[in-house]
Formats: sequence, C-alpha cells, structure tokens
Amino acid sequence: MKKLFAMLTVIALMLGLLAGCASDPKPTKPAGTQGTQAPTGGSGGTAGSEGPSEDKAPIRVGVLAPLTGTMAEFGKTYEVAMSMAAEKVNAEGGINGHELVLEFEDSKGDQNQSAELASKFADDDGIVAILGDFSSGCAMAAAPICDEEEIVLFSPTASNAAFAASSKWAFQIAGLASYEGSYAATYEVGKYAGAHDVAVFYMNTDFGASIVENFRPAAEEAGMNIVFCEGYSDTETDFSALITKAQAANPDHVLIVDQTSISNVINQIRGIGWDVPITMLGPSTSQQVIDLCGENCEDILTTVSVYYSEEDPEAYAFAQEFADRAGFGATVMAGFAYDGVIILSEAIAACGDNITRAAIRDNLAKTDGTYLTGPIKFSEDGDIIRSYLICQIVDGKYVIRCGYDYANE
Amino acid sequence: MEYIISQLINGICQGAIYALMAIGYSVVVGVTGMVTFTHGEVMMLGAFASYYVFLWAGNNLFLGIIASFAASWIVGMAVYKICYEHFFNAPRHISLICTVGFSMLLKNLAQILFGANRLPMLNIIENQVYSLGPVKINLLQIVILLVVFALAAVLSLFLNRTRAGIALRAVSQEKTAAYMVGINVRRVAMTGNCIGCGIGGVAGMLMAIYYQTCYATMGGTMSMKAFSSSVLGGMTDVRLSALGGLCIGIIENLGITFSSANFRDAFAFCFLILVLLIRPQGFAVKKGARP
Repeated sequence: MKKLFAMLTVIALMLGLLAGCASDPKPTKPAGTQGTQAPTGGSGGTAGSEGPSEDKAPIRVGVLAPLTGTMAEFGKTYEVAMSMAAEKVNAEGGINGHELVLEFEDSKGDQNQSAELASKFADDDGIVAILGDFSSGCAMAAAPICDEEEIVLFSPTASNAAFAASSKWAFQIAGLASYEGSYAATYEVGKYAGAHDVAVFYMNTDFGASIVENFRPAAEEAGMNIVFCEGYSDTETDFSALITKAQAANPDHVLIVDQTSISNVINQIRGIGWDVPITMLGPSTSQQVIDLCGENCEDILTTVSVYYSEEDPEAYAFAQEFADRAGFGATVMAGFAYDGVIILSEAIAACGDNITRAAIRDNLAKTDGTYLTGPIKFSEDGDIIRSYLICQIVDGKYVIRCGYDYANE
Repeated sequence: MEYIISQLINGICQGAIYALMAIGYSVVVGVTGMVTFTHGEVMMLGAFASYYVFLWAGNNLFLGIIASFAASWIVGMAVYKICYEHFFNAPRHISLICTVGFSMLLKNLAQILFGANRLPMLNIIENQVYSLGPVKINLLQIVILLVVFALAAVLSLFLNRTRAGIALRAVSQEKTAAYMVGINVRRVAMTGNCIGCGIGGVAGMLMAIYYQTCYATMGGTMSMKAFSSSVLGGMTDVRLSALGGLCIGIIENLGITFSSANFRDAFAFCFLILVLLIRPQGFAVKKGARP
C-alpha cells in the first residue's frame, strides 16, 4: 500500500513536470495549423486560422534559449518576446504566406548544451536559421558549428565583439560590449558622474570580462583610478567579503557589471550602510532590479539602449503586453529578442520562393531599417554599434538624464 | 585590522548559515544512514514558504520560521517516502541517485510553480548598522546569528534531554540494536529526517532574508557547502558539522580577502581536502564516533 502510494506520488509529480515542460517551450503557432513537426504534447485544435495559408509548408526556425537553469528568467524573456514577434508575423500573413514556426530548445545556459543543440538544428534540413543563444558564451560555443554547417546563427542578445566577428554566419544586434564598456567609462561614470576612484564588481562571464577589458583603458584615459576591480562567478550569492574589500579601497564610485545577481550586490552594499554612488549597465536595467532592491536602488545610474517610454506607443504597447505575458517587466533583452525575430523573418521573406540558408544569410547582412529597438544596420562583421541613454532610478522609476547624443555634446 | 575583523564577521555570519544547513544535513544523514542531495531543494522550498508567509502576514520572523520549518518537514516526508523507505537494505548508491533525481524534479517543479525569476524579500529585518568600536555589524547579521544559535540550542536539548531525541540518536548509532530495544525505527527515522529537513528549511529562509531574494535554483551551490561542512564535521555529528560550516564560511571569506572572489569555492574545497587528507574522519574523534 505504502509502496503504491509512493509510486503514485512519483508518477503524479512526473506527469505534472511533463505537462509543465510541454506547455512552456512549445513552438508558437496558431491553434489549428498542424505543422509537419508536431509540438510535444500539443493538442492540435480544429479551428481554421486566418493567418498564413494552410497549404504552404511552415518555415521553421530553431531557437536556443536557457529555458531552465540559473538564466531561466532570460530564457523566459526570449520565449515570450519571440513568440509575440512570431505571432505578429503570422497575423500579418506569415512569411510570403508561409507560417513562421519557432522551435525552442533548452540550452540551460550551458555552452556544451548550446553547441550540441546547434548541431542538432543544423542537421535538420527543415530548419532554415537559428536564433540565440542568450549569452555570449553560449552563442560563441555554437558559432563554429553553425559556421561549418553554413547556417545563420543570429543572437539578438550576445554582446561580445568576438561573436559576430568569428563567422560570417553569426549576427548580433545587442550592441558591442566593447563599446558599451568604453561608453560607460568615458561618459556615464566619467563625464556624467564625475568619478575619480572607481571600484568595479563584475560577473566573471564572457559578458562581464569583455566589458571590463574595455572599461579599464577608457577609464584610465579619462583620468580615473580603478582602485578595486574584482570578478566573481555567476553562481555567487554572498558579496559581503568583496564589498568589505572594496570599501577598504575607498572608492568614490562603484560600477557593477552583472546580469543575474545585480540586485544582490546592490542590496548587500546598502545593507552594510555604504551609500556610495552606484552605476550599472544596460543588461542590468529592468523593472526587476527595482522590485528586488526597493529603496536600495534609488539614484543608481544606468545606460540603456532602449527605453520603452510612453511617448513611443509601439514600444510602450510591447512592454505592456510583454509584462502581462511574462509576469515581469520588459528589459532591453526583450526588445532585442523581439527585433531578432522580425529582422530574421524579413530576411527570409526577401528570399522569395527560393529559401536557402545561404540566401537568408545574404539578405540578413543587407538589413537596414528602424525597428522597435532603434535603427539596425550590420557592419562587415555582422554586429552593430548602438547609442546609449543615461538613466537614473528616481522614486522607483527610470528617468532619462542624458539623450542619445550626450557623447557628441 | 578593523578590515580583517569586518571580514571575519562576514565569514562568521555566512558560516552560521552554512552551519545551520550542515546541522540539518547531518541529522538527516545520521538518522537515515544515507547521503542526500535533495537538501538544497528542501531549503529552497522552505525559503519560498516563508516568502509567501511574509507576503500575507507581514514581516513576522517567528511565523516565517514556523512556515519554512513546516513546509520543509512536509517535503522531508515525501523525500523519505520516495528516496529512503524502500532502500534501507539496498546498496547505498540507489537512494543516493534517487535523491539526485528527486532534487532535479523539485527544482524544475519550483521553476514551474513559482516562476523562473527572482522574488524580492526586502526589509524583513530592518536595515540598521551598529558600530562596536571599529567594527560594524548590521541587525540582519545579529538576527541570523541569534536564530542559528537558538535553533542549535533547541536541537541540542531535544537530542540530549528528551526521550524522542534519545531514540533518534539510538537509531542514528545502530538501527538493528535500536529495533531490538523496542524503538520504532522507521517512524523515528522518518521524524529525524523531517527534523533535519525542517532545520534546512529555516536555513533556506535565513539565506533568502540575508540575500534578500528567493529563487528556484538557490539550493544548488548551497547544498554542496552543507554537504562539505558536514563531511568536515564527520558526517553525522551535529555539533562538529556546525563547526565545519563555520570554518568553511570563515575560510572562504578570508580567502577572498587575500585573493579574489573567483576562488571562493576553491578555498572552501581545498580546505576540505586538506583537512580530510590529514584527518579522514573530519573533526570527529574517531571513525563512527557519536556524541
């Protein structure tokens, strides 16, 4: 009896898990259109859809995203934002009448996993291009495979300058970490905040390291001293030792380069009663930081390349809908992910009836237009340089302090 | 000097949380005789339970402790039923793998139920900094130390002064002999496991309060630290496990003081390896010794 009970419990838990998994990373398609590839656990409705025509085969795009693991919230961002974009494309008639189907795979934020899944996508002739991965590290692990297999790897969020440069099949639109690092040094921490002695905390990942690599020379050129500069692993939760150490170096400004633990660092700095001015960077900028830090994050400076202001109705509506669906506010990452799908689908549409992986690459490279997150035109390498706004958190809200042209003033 | 003392206080505070996790861990291991890798997730669920209690009932630390203890107790029952009960006479690795699998299940279930993003646990304890001479300590650290010591004292009283506690220690020492003197081994093992898990839950709550966030994957690295602390203390000895936790916390923080935070885990584990090389039984007096 007890045995039976235990087994039933396990089975019930397993089923719950499977149901949960199946409902999360599902290919986005309107109910009723049954693609060649049935989604796992999908139920396949019967109602007809008005979008893309039924007799044309769907166009399948693979997505690498960290749906579980420590970066799961960014995986969720990918899933929600990209699904919204795919729905928009399909609602407007699809890609030349073909339905766009995104197939999400969970890379868990793990580089090996990402590379493996990329080669799985590349081996599947039905997949025309790959979006992702979220982090630079994972995207760069997948890049050599996509280069060899000659399929587009388009990461909307990777920011390492070496990613797109590594292959003609790799593209990125988040702006380069190298440029963001030096922008932060020269304008945000230097010109705007007027700091002299800076302490830098950075997450020792690809993103953090490449920002710091570029921040350091630019800061020194701007006449600042970096009195403390230390990295920590991305699973770190306790920063008290580092903070005490930084405090002993007596900086007049703190820069935090992080994506996942930013709120922890801020809370712990304020927790010991240290009210030094703090600056963070674009990828940290989210409503979540404000939710997680409350009063602790007042007056913090940040750069953003995208700002979902009420004056821009399209961007504002996007941010609202994203928040409704995801359960948390839209970060810049959400906009990048959304644009990624739109840009890619335009590149596919430009191929006409002859959709090949090579044609998609060539059309993607020609992209030149203005999207939700601003103008996008790829350089030779397949990356772009973004402009930044400087914002400050005031009364629990981001307020723009300097416009896009602050660098030229 | 005051810098080193501040770092020591950081280390003691973090060590205290490790100690609490290790106490729970060693109670579980002692009483079931099997290693568990679900402890991190048990702690995480305890933290979530207190999160919701704080949300509904306001910042009442006492209620939070009860909620996290109770929630982890219930999870502990499930862990016991699924991972241990049928495997007492099976090779040890079977229940070990079972706990590994169960921990993944719990982690993913938590991501589905509570979402993948971090939840704020702000200002549960007022943010206040006290200066004792050159040394600064905040209220949060004081409260955490107090809770840890109070719980350790209660547990120690329970284990040494009550009938149930003595039965628990008897089961921990020798199951067959305990059975022969009329102790209901299965029930005691289950209760002991649940107590260990409950303490783990409170540790999870304290961690969430200390770091002001609560998220589904928070158990991962922490359970490794709990495991190493209790290995350092000789696996089943509650007091020595607590000492092991404190040592690891302090070593880590001093390590960061003199080098870099990148090597936090390296310091903890190198220390562990060194101690085990010299004393394979950890801090315990002799192999298999019990309090």
